[in-house]
Amino acid sequence: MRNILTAGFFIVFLSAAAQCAAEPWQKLTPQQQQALAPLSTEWDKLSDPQKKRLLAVAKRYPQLTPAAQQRMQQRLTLWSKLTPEQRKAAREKYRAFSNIPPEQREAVKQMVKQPAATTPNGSVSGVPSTTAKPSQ
Amino acid sequence: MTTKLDPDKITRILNQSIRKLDDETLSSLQQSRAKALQSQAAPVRMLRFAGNNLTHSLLPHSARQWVTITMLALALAVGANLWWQHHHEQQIDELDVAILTDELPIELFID
Repeated sequence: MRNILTAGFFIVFLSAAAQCAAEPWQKLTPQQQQALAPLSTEWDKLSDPQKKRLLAVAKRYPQLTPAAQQRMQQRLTLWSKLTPEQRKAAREKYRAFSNIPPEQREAVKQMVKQPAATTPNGSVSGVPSTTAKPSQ
Repeated sequence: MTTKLDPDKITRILNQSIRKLDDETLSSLQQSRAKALQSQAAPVRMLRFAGNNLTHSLLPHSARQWVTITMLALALAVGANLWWQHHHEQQIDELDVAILTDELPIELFID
């Protein structure tokens, strides 16, 4: 009975320890390196928890559509440069955004996708630029 | 016509009758009384004994058993904590993938 318990404890602690270790770039699989390609030069400078998080993201890469894969790779560098607090805040915002009704979510998406209308002043937002020349 | 029986009166009458009984009859009556009292107390004693036995058998008897139970409880607590952590990590990973792949620009969620 004592041996079984001791073995059980060892298994639990070893698995926990294994999860904490993060591989250097050279030891990543080709699939992982493909998914995390934008981070190839910075990978070894990242913290272990961050590497672990990014490896978990890379695991989903093969299941994404090509458009989603492209978006992910474009955003990886910016994402990796954020502080842990900024990433946490972003997750909270996204979680809150996901909880709003689908119609409102779609309205926000449409607003973001619509190209901004240009004004006679040439400014995008509709607010005249301070350097705009007066019309003659 | 009914008369109300007075318990004290009955006791006095019975005590007077006992003094008139011979020793053999008296002894026989005393033995019967003792047996009746014993059989009345037996179920209560049996229940108490059974209850004591159950709790006695469930509780650890030795330090070794205490240590085993403590280690089991610790293992359960560690396991539950690991499961919760794993579940929490999975949720965060899903959020990260969603933010990195959503059609909405990532700047919308970053301060």
